[in-house]
Amino acid sequence: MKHSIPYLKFKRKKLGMLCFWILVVMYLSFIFEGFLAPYQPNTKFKSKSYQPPHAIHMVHEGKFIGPFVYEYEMANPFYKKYRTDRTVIHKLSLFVKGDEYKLFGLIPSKTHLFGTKDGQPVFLLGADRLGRDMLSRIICGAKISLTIGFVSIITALLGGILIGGISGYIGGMTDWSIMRFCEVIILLPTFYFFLFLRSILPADITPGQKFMFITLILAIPSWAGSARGIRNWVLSLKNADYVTAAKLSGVKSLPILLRHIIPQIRSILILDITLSVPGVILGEAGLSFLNLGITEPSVSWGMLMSAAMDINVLKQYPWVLWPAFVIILTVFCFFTLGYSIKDAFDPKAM
Amino acid sequence: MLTVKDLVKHFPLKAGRFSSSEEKIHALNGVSFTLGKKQTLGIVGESGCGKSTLAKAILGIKPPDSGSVLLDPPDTKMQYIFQDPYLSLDPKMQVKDIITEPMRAAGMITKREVAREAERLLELVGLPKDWGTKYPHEFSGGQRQRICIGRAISSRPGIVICDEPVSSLDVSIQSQILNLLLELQEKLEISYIFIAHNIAVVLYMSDIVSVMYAGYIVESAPPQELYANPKHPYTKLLLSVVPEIGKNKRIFEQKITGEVPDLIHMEAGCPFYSRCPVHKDICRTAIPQLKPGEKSDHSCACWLYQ
Amino acid sequence: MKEKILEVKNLTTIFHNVNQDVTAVDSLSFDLFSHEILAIIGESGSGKSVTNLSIMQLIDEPGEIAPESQILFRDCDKYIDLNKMTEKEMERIRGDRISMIFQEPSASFNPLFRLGKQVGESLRLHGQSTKEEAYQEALKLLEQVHIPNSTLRAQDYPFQMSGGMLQRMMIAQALACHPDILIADEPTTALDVTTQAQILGLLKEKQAETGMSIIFITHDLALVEDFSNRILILYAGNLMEEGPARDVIAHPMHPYTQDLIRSIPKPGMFKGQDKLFAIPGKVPDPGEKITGCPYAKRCSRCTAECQASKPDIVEKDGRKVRCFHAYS
Repeated sequence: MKHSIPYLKFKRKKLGMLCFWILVVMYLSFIFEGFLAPYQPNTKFKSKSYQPPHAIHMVHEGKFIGPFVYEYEMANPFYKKYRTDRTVIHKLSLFVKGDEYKLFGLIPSKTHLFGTKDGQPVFLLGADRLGRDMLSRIICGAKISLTIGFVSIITALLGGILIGGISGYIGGMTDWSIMRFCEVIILLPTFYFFLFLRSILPADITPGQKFMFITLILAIPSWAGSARGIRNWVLSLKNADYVTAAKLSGVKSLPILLRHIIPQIRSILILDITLSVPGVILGEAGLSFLNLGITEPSVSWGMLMSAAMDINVLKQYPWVLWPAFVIILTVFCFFTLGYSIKDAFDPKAM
Repeated sequence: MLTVKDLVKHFPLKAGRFSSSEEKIHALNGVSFTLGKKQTLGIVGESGCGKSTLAKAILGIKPPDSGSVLLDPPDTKMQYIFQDPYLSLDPKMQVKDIITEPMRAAGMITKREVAREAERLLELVGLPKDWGTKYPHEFSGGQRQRICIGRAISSRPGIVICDEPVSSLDVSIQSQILNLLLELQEKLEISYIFIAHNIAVVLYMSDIVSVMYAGYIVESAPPQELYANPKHPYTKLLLSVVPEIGKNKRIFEQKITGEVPDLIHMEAGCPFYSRCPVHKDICRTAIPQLKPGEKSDHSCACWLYQ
Repeated sequence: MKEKILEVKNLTTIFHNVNQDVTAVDSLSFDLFSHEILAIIGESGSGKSVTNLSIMQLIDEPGEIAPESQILFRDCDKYIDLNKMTEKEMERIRGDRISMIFQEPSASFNPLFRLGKQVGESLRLHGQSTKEEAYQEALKLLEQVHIPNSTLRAQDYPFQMSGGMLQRMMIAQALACHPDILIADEPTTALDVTTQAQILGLLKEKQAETGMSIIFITHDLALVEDFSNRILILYAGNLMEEGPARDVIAHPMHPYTQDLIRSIPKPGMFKGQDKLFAIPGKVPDPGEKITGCPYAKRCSRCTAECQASKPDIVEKDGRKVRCFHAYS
């Protein structure tokens, strides 16, 4: 099959392709999260509270001995300051045995991608207050943050197609009332809307239920926006000659909507998804940052960032800010990818 | 086969949901005709004459305000060929699905038979039968129009309304499509309502030609008769300004007055009055009816002949 | 006193699209004289519109006019090559010395501005008048193109006008600065036949008054037979035939011209008694690589020679034909 021109144009956009692959890697990584992360997210090392990130060295006392890290010993327990002890070495290697986890959620395994041979902690991105590895927590947080974004948008889209499609196709007063309703939802300040919905949830719900509710809350504003956009497209497409031809041939309304109209806006929908996900990710991050979204013992990037709320903590232990960079990177990738797709579909841009 | 009586369609001029304007566009003002089996009725007229509105009224896409459309037998299927072959095919569907859609909607075939029926139809309209899996954008304008024709005839309609089927095609392709339509009429015994603004094409394709102006039929006759003895001043005007090879007509020297008719503010009397070089007083106050003259198949709506 | 006002030499225009290069016009050469109406006949893909845009230097990315192409325009007593002009120099020429009118008059006017203002725009652009003066000039121009109630009509917006009126407005605007050449790209294709006759009448009248030349592009052979002086027939970017209008139509020499004439439905042809000739095949796709004569695939007189190599243009007795069989 001949490649379409938008596809060819997209392939030319190096930055867009790069972002695409970064995102693919991120999404695939949470299949293997247990393996990739050196520790389970809640594994604590009591004596290593707020330990700074380890630097990987190769040469010790003039000799090349392969990758290793030096031991950090507590110098000031009150301010949690550490000093490098260059006498104690912890060698690193690949495929070490460590904490137990379940691969794909099913198979128990103890093998991790890398770690110390002697079981002592290695913190590539530092440790938090309870001595938990930041890197592991970030890797495990990816699952929730990225999934919430995606699932939420898919829900919003399906709702948008149904509501917007029907509204646009039927027209008349039905269309008018549905659109006014959507506009009210769009007008509400999004974040306060989240807070409101969150506040009416009962306090004692399981993390699983919490996840589901948060996903739904985040989906509602997007759903209203999608419905409006889709309804506009349906409105313009329903008078197309080929739709009239189908009507004249006796095809019923719903098959016309699903078979003739919605497929035309496939590319718009992909774009919509790509540009909406980051908003939801940021929404979740915001909620969790305020301890209103995902909370302990689950891990999400926003939740990790709540540790950075205290300016003193941030000043003394700046590595708690790593989750923020990961969020920024993800959002950047989605936006760049989205705009590259948009440019590829624009017939005038080259 | 088809009897149309006194079709009237006026479009209200409303701007927005809550405005109430009394003004209307008088698109169709009482059109009547009959169409027999395996017959082609040609309708010719310029922009604003109401020919497209007539087609949509007959098909039910924009039902008329008053008048009747009677089919005999009542379950006769009607199909439609659009003017623009680039807009009338769903760009995301494969041709085999497009061309058999009317058959599937009518329950004539099942999903499994689609490929086979598509091959048959493609061959019928002169396209390679294994092109069913292609998409519309892979075809040229003329080829797409063939697909549209294939789609229109697939459910064995008794009547096909062709609305400017060749106007947007290249000149060297137009005759292919016209000949295809004639060939299919012979094979499948279809009646056509052939609508166009090009009078030469209409004269060539039709058994009866009706000339429309401002929502009225002003003259109706077999093509040879209409060409040799046009009666209505508008028909005469049309024939005089159509370029003809070898006739040295010098159409740029013709004195033509007036503009296209204003369908919103229609005056009493004959719609052609203001542009007519031979009008009489009665033409200003009373509308002439379409009546046959000495030859029973040649009707004209003009006071000069009544 | 007829003089050569435009000489196009080996015009080649190529579009560098994403997946292929398309040669829209291939080495086209022709002359245009003063007081002359030259008709360019072609179907889609013939290159007729691209030729005009090339003359006006309005070809943008990804299109490119070959640097060797020459478009020699007579300026005072010498010829300047439009293909070598800068954009600023071309701006001086467009609208002032060479004007263009298009097929869709409603698409050529800004829907937000009143017509009188737009018609006077050329006058102001070419530095001739103040706003007030330009407006008065515009009113005069509207009268010259026989628009009734010009003072009222000048205050209208484009959507309030019919196609025929807008086309006349466009002609008024194009003629404001008395150009030497008017390029008319299918100006009557979208109009009714009655309106078409009026517009053609107007063009002939203006041409007689000012002595300007008109390049008239269309696909309607019958139309140009008595309207134009000379005809150029284009097919797939190539010149196929050229000659005096009546002569070419009465005695066509190229098989394409002959086939085209035979395949046009003429008033007086009727179902059952006449059979319309249909040219087989279709116009080549843009970008389709063609060896040999572009018309070979559809030509009834095609031989092996036609498929192998493209015929050169043979010029004889004021006629040009690109065909191996023209004189055989």
